Amino acid sequence: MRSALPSPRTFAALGAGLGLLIACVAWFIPYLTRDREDVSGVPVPPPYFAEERVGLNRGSEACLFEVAFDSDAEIVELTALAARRPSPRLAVVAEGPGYRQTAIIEGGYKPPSALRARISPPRRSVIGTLCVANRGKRRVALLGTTDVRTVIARAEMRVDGVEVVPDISVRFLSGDSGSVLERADKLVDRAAAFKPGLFGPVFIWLVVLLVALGLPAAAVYSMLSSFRDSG
Amino acid sequence: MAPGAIRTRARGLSPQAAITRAVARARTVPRPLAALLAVAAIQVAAWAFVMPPFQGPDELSHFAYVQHLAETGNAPEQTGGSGANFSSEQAEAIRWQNLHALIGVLGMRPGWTEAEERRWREVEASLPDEASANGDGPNSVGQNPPLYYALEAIPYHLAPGGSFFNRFYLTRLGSAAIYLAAVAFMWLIASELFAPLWARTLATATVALQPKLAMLGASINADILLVLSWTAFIYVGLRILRHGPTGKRMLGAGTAAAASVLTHGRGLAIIGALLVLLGIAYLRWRPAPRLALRGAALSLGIAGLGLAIVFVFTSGVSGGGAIYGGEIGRIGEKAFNVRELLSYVWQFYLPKLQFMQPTIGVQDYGFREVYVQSFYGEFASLEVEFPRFVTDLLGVATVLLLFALYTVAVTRLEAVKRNWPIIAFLLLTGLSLIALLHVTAYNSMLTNPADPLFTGRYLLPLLPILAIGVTAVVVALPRRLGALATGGLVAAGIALSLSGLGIAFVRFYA
Repeated sequence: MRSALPSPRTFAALGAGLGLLIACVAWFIPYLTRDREDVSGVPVPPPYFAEERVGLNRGSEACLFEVAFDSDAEIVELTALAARRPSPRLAVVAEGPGYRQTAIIEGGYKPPSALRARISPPRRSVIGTLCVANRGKRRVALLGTTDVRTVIARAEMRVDGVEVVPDISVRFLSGDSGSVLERADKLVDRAAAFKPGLFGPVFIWLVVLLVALGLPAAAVYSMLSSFRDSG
Repeated sequence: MAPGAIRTRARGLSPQAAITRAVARARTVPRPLAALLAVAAIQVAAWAFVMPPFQGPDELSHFAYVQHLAETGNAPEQTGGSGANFSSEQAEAIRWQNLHALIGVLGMRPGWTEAEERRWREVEASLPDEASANGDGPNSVGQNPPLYYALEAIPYHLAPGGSFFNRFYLTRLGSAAIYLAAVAFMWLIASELFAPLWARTLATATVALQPKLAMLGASINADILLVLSWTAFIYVGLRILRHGPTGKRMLGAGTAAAASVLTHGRGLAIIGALLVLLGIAYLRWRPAPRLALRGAALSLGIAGLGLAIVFVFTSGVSGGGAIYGGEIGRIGEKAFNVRELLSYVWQFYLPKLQFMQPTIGVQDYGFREVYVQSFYGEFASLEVEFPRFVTDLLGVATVLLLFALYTVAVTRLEAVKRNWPIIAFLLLTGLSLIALLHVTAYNSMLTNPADPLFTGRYLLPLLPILAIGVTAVVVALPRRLGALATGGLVAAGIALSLSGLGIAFVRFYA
């Protein structure tokens, strides 16, 4: 007599379906659709172990060399460290072959705070120099790094033309702050950078699709076919 | 050779015949295994191409070792050398993709602009030939034996075009092939132990959908060969215990053990497992003394040969003439205290008892951090983590599994007694590695208490034992409930695999 209950294969499919549904609703969809800032590049990351103060006196200028400006770098972000009085006005200059942008960060902000200067990005990415000049009357201390984990980024730093050890921590942001799903094509282009010829954006897209659809399908198929073949 | 034999051989080698035979052989692969190999291949390829270069665990040093061995025929030195941790070519690639500061630092991103890529291509074209061959050390993995690196030299040399990143990614794919072989061996293990096809599939899926293993398979790191050696060893061990110790099987066990000791210092634990296997096989089969001695000599001889090669190789390159750069020889030198070791092991797994001193090394670093957090997660250089709720759920699942195994053992005592050789072999094999890991971790913490030197990755060679445990519990459930649990477990594996890759993708490129 046939059992009134569905077959074990149906139960397995039910278990997998329920599990994947819960994962999608509780985890994947919120993660992929959440708005997050779009980092366009990080010439020097924040310190890993201990923060370092890079002091800029009135009229001083700190420059980072070998900085890559991408075609979506619209915001330069620095960090001013704690000080007793509000900090001075800063000028930010981004410069590369065929590209120059100047932006002002007005004084009066109360450190510690993230300082953001808006620039127009280059039409094509360039490698150049990013300078920060103190245009105010007071000294300012910017967040920098000397620790072995983070100071090894490519950019080199000079203050008033003299090479110094701490590098100022800087990152570039794009004005776009959508979800990763909305920016998927940009992320794929980034992942395809520095890859051998065959493994360009088309290949990365193929991998993304295989992971998102092929992997779950093949895993579920393996299980269901094993129940079918087990009888 | 007779002309007829030459003709026969030539016929055997014709491409058409070879293709036909390969297709016929591929058709004999069970469908669930083929699908799981596809799952594993997709996953490992995705990790290989999503994770930027040198972001796998210690990948910087492992690739430098592969490159130096491939280019010069010599391993880099662990402590000596000309001061070049890696070749000038590797250093320039790191510089232009901004990869060094990326390691373990969440706020960093790799270089991805066209301008950096253009500049790298100009720099690469200007590098002299010797720029690939001058990373002679010091190299922090220079004490490792050469097997894995020698195998990886093959894809390194097969890379077309000579570009650095071609060689790098093909070397990663070399690791991926080792990973796929480990998944296939898991199927063979499951086929030895479980009759229903679905149970074999569940056991293999537990390995194929383990995200940390897939990430390791996509990294240039000797640990993946250790996983393959142990998986193959467990398979051969089960064959010996279930079907008898033939010469071929003893040879297989010895070869897997030799591969393990020729791969990494941690691989030495397999010698204990091999001795356990020989002892249990003797008790199980009671062969004639001459046969027993011949079998033991064969397997131990090959493992011993592996050790001798390690000794000869590493004595010339590192550690002042000591095996594995002196790490193993140093055990017992530095105020080694058995009571302190036992206290450390106790507190690793269980709460501190009142009469105990605080454990050596990092406090609050134990079972959860190693067996759960960094066993399933902590990708790349440990910085890409699952959300806390996932780690909590995995922790609960691990504890439930232990209780379930205990319950199954108690309720099926007869089956346990009947299968004691297999159960003892699996438990003692696991214990052999875990004991070595604790002793070396304790020994290391005597010098540097800040580094616990024990992470979940080190337990991956025991993943087949976990997969067997999970499957044994599910098989013991009523059939339909077992099927539901199988579906749930496969879904959990898919969810972990997808989210591990997704979190890494966002961490590096968003």
